[in-house]
Amino acid sequence: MSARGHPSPHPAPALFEPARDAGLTPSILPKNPEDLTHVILGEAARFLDAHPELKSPRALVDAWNLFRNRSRTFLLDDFGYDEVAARPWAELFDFLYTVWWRVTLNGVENVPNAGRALLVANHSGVLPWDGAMVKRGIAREHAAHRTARMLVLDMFTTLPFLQPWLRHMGEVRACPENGARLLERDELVGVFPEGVKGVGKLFRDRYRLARFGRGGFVRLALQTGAPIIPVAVVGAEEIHPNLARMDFIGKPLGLPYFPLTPTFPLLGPLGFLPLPTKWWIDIGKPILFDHGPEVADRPMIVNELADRVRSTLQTMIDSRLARRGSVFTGD
Amino acid sequence: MAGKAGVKAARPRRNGSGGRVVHFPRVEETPAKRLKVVVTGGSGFFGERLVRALLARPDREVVVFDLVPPGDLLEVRHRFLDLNLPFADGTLFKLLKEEKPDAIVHLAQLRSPSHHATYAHELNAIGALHVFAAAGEARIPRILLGSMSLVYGARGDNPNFLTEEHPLRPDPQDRFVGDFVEAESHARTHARRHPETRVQILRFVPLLSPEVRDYRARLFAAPFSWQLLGYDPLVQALHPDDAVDALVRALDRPEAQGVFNIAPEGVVPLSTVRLLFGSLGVPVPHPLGYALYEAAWLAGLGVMPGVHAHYLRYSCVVDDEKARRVLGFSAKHTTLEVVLETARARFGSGRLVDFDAVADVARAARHAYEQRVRARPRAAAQGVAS
Repeated sequence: MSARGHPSPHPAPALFEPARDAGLTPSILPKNPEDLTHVILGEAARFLDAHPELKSPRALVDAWNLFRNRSRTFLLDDFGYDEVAARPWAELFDFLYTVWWRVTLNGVENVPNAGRALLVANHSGVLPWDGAMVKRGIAREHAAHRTARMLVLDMFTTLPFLQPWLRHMGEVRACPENGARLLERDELVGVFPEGVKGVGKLFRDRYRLARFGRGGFVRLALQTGAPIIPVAVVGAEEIHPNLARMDFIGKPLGLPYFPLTPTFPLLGPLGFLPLPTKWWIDIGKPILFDHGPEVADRPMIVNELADRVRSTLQTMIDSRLARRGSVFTGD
Repeated sequence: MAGKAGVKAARPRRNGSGGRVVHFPRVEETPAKRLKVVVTGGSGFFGERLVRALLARPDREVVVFDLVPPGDLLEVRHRFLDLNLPFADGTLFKLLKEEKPDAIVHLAQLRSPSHHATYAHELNAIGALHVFAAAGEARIPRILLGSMSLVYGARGDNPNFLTEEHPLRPDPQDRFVGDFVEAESHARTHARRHPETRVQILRFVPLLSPEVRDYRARLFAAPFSWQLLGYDPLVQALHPDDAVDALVRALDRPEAQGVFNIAPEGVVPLSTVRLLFGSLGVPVPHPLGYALYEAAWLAGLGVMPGVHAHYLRYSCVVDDEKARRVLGFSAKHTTLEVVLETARARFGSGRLVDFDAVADVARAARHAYEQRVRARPRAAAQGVAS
């Protein structure tokens, strides 16, 4: 090569002729510089030649990334619901549903086979297992095996590990925009209007419905024309009997409540194990308001409608409680 | 057809070509006036693409205001403008008085965080102030401001899809995003002071294509990056062609004022972006993650300041429903397609990822979107400005 980068027809004679060209001393250096990698890498280079898909250094990262994402798919819906990733978890929920809590589901035929509907359920149990069981029950026993999309409290959707997991399971953050968007797509949406007041309820207040938020669920139903389906969950109040709220611990940790149960925090991680009570999930007849979407901007009527749903749900809970015997066996 | 002939007749005669002068027959109707568009930052990555798209249209005339002429586009009129000078608004006013454009498209912005924070602030925030000040004095009837979807801020309590009415809540420490928020506030003030002018703000989802080299593309393409442990936000990526298409459509619809989110169909988790790019996400607890991004940024090795790592923690996904309805915009590439094609073009060989299989999935997803969009009732709402 000349200084200008073009190969010169007459290469300048080298000042020092390499010994290997004279054939005096054998060199391990190959004549062809491309074979140098083979000398250095040996068997590994031959392996890479046989497997061109591993040529890039990123192939190593790929192996790890593919392993990490082995149960996921690329086919997500707009909220990040991954049907395939959610499937293995069904086994855990089935165990809880059939063995641990022996759920009895009544009135599943009240859930429409297609089209939008808003499930409104009472919330309880410190940890939101009731949502998981309502969802699993409908997926198991409904004729169309519909997937209910549960609207989940902020405090769960922003926690590390829970954020991506809940998304894969198909849950979305509870806010009016998300609810309306899901209902507009004719999904089955589940809400717990009591919110954090319900899930962190004290044991002595069990089965007494807390305030139903600000009536956002009624506004949602009015705006989208979705029927409201009341769902009464009985049995979930006793899985973590919340004896007292130790907010002096919870507040500095940024938690909305910190429960004191017979097992938590006394037994440490064992305290997260819910008690095996007997559950009933009663699904009531759909409530369809005879108001138009314009009523959504009239808070007094919205509040009245919310109260009507609340009393319907309270009646359903009370009638089930009256027929219930033991908390654990149900007889 | 008559309109086309009219345009031909209006073209100025070439001088000094030495050829025969052709006299076109006079057309009775007056030729449609060409809309004269000034593109600030028309030599940048984004601006140059817009200029090329406008050159292809016979009913548009383009003038570029920038530091340098746009690449090899010799036929484009270029005027020197440095928005960083303290009295750039006066210079710009004189230029606007000479050019008398019908619309300004303001794209002279840095679209990556800069170590020269003052320079970036002067250009992105104060530059917009200059543009609106000069445009107000020169009575320019229309201004388009290119903004970005990150102005909503990544927050845990964001709805999954942010609409234009949602308040802008970026982290106050995030100066890069804050400058775009300030530019938008100047646009709103301008619209209030001059009710007769039409202001359009287009909030673009961050661009991605094999050619894009902004901080986000560099982060995705890095061999490794810190992953905030236990967080995996959903991200969107917009193809530059779609962004240009949105700008062209916004120019076509002067009656459509206000803010528009410009977004593609579909979302992709950050982990999937890393998977397709073959980038290793090193998991670190999120407080440490912020610190590591900040440390790398201060050391000159990172792509963004630590505070911007919010966007690797929470989703900031926008809804393009209004742009579809009012502008008639619909992105031709889905997010998954953009990420996939970028990853394949840049790091496609010698990989374990089966890009063809992913492409099949992307095609299936696109089909699902098209089905859904067709099912939605939209005909009644066409052309409604809000």
